[in-house]
Amino acid sequence: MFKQEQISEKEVETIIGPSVKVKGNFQTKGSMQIDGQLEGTLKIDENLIVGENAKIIANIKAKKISVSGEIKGNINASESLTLSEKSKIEGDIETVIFSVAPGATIDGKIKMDQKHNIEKNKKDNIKNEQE
Amino acid sequence: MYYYLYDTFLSDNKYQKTLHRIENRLVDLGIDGKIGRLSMMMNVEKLLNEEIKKGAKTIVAVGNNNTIDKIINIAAAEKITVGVIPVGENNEIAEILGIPPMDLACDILSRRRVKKIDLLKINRRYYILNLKMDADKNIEIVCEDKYKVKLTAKKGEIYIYNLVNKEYIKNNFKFKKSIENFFSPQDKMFDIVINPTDTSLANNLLKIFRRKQAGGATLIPGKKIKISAKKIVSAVCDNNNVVKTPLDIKIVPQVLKIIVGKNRKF
Repeated sequence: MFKQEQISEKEVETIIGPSVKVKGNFQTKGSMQIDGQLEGTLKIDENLIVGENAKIIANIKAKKISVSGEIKGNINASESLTLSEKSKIEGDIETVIFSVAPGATIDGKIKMDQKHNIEKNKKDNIKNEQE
Repeated sequence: MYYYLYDTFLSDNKYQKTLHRIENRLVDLGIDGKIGRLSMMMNVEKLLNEEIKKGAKTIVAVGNNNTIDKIINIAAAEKITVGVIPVGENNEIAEILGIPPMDLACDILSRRRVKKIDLLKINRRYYILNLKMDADKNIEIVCEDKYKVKLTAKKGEIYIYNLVNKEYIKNNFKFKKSIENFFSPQDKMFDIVINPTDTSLANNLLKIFRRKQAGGATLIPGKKIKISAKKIVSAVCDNNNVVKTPLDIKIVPQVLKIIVGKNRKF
């Protein structure tokens, strides 16, 4: 079976359970696990796990993203993106390290520009430090 | 200077021996002080304000959770240290703070291990433990003025925790992840738990059919939320005080100085 979890469970700081819907601009400095629904934008400083029953309509930005559910929106994973066999993505993907299991569906462009991402991360880090 | 506030229920004869033991122990330890006895009609805040003006630096709640609740608003506002001597039932707060019951608590007081902890500010009042309320699809939670959270199950419960026994959380909620980093009264955040409780047959069959994992609570750390509902809904703060929607809830970081024991659970 495809090994999905590369993200340590201890890192997860916010859990959106299967019986909850979040709407709006969600931003967190920690990591996050989503098993419910989310609509809006999602900006995570650390890592994101999208569970099997999760439905997300949002542009997502995080370091490492691991997906088993559905995402409609663009994904920017500055370190890595892992798609399991049940994942469905409708949107463009931008990442550095990309793993896809057989059965995953993607409807969108994939961009893997290592140099671009590394430079962008450096700029973001400098900008964050200045703020 | 210590000021000891005896709660109303301690006027019952069955507590007299316990109170004598406590008073003797306080004298032995050299931390005895003035005693104030609460009665039904007494204005606690007025009484405490007068004692603070007279020089009280530490107010000790002798009683239970409700006694502590009567003190924290004035103690937080006046930056007074709070101590606790638990007597009788309903002493969850003392247990989390690592304070043993009755005269054993006097030794903890005399060691004076003071910690600053966060408090929940719900509408205009401070609460130390939590807020609990039943939830359905009509309840809306706005977090940090940025996003809304809604329950998709028919029924559920909303909890806002500040000070809580982590073992209780582990035993009562189904989280997929470790909760070790959560539920601290010193992290400048509260923890929102939303727990679905829809136990109808149809819902259970749906779960089996979809092979979903049953339950699965939501856990969101936060600093500021607003809870509203189309119809007025009641919530219970610190297991005792009833408040009604709309609710404006904030965490006030490290606002209460409180004496804790070595065996505290945070």
